[in-house]
Amino acid sequence: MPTRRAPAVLALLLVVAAGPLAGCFSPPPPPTPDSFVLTDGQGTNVTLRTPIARIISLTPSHTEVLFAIGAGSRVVGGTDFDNYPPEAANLTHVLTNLQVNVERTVSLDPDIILVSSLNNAADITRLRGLNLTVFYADASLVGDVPAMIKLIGRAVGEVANATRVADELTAAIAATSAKVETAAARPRTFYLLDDFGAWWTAGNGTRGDDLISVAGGTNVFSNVSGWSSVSLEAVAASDPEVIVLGLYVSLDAATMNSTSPWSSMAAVQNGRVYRVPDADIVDRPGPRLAEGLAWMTAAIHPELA
Amino acid sequence: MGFRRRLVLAGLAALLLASLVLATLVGNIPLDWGQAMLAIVQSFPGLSGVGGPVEPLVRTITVDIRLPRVALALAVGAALGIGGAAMQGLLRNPLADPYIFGVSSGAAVGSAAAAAAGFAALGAMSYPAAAFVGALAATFLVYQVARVGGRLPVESMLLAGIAIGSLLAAVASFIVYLDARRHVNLIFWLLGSFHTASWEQVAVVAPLTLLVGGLLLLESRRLNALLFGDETALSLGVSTDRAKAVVLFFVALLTAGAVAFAGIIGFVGVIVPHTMRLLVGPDHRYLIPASGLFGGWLLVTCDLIARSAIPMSEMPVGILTAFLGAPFFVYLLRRSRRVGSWG
Repeated sequence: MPTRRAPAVLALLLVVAAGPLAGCFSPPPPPTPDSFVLTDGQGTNVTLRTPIARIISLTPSHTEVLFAIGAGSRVVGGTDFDNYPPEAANLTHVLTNLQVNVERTVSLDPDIILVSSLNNAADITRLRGLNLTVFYADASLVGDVPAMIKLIGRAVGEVANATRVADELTAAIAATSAKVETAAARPRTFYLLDDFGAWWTAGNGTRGDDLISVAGGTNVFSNVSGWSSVSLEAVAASDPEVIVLGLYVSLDAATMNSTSPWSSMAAVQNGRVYRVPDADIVDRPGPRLAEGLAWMTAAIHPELA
Repeated sequence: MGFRRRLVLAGLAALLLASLVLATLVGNIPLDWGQAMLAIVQSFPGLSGVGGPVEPLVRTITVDIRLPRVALALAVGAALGIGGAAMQGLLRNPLADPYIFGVSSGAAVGSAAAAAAGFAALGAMSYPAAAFVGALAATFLVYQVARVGGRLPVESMLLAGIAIGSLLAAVASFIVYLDARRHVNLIFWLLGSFHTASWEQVAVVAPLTLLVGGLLLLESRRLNALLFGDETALSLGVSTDRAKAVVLFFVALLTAGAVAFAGIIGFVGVIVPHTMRLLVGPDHRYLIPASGLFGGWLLVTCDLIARSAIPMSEMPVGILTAFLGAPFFVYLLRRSRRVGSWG
């Protein structure tokens, strides 16, 4: 019996011994001439050593931002969701099937790892525990995306390019706002994200809700909070004038035309059901959000096109 | 005793009827009850103009959304109640439920595979059809594995059920893992929900439940004989292996229909037959109809709460059945000394 237990005891001893050892390495190095401190999107002061030569992106929208601001050649690792620009698909996958491969991350020797709200907090803590430089950036609303692009630009040393890309997006948002202000009404819009397991929609505080609002519509479920499932009764009672379907929704306009309660809704009767052509342009907080916004505006206000 | 048991059945039927009416009048959006009742009355053929005009929205919500949903919950609840009663009798095991032979994981594999392969030939019925086939295939697999030299021992059925169920659950998880982008929601489906209820679904599940439930009722005497164990049943002239195979097939049909349209709704198949055994005893001639009625009532009521409790939104009914069912079950266990009495 004692011999059988020995490996377990040994392992425990190793863990106990490794605790204080790990502690020796944990305080961030003090700023030096070739490093600077930048506050990330979660308020963490991150010490960044320059030059930033090796970047890992754990969020597809960050990958898009990095390529758009001219840092694409420095990205050494990404996720299996990366598909834009096309060359991003060839990145070494550090995050596959929603799981971070820690060994591969360490072996790529990154100077910075960009994360967002899509990444789970345990992964972020774990990577920081390995003395890796993790930088958080995100944008919950459409109007926050330009600032997020600029923040990433500062973190990786592409301030001028990031400012240009961010300003283009800001201008696109402003132009849309000006255009929809001339519209006679703000059509009641229902955004059905997915219909698998429940009727999922974008409630208050989500980028989907904000996208509808900026595109000149009124989200019929702006009174529910966050990404939320809603009841079919509530959908019927809201009588949407426009229905936007997520890419993966199994319902389609033809089925809705012939099935109650959909067939009695104004949007269906007036042929105003639109399917998102590319989930990434509306879902990802990156430079292509301008395309997503243009598509959403054309769906809600075809008369302004 | 026979009179008392008939009285219990009549009481259960009355309770169910009341819950059906309440579940149609109450929901996520508050409606005028007079208008709602009028809408239901007018939905019957030949009565369309009776009693004055009805607001279109009231008609849509009651007739098109609530009625099919209530009917589906009734059919699925009855199927799970009857399936549970038959399965507990078959296995002589109070922990058995209709999912015990891997029906749920088989259904999950079927629908996950269909989703991954992009199977859509049957329109809205594609995933349910795949789930149904997967559920039946799982039971067939268990049956084949459990057979030992032409016999079907209870222990080997239980073990085969657990083994095949775990294997298929792993296969379903693997398919989901391979294509995380699309199937993350399958996890939600596993909780069970009636959110897409339609008359097309009712048209499949309700006749299936009635027909197979009736056939199981005809097997009552054989199920009763099985309660005494294989040897005694044989001495009573009941071919136990044939009876087991037939009951297994019927329960698989019932459960596959339920799981294909409503996902996995836990606990109903366990507590309903138990509760009814306390009320009407172990005789399957009473236990099966009582479990059908009570199962129907339980799911109609749980779904009523699931879709009314949260304004605008709803929760999966599977969460609620366990949340309300478990404390109720514990209460019954503590109150009664007859639990576990089979004879």
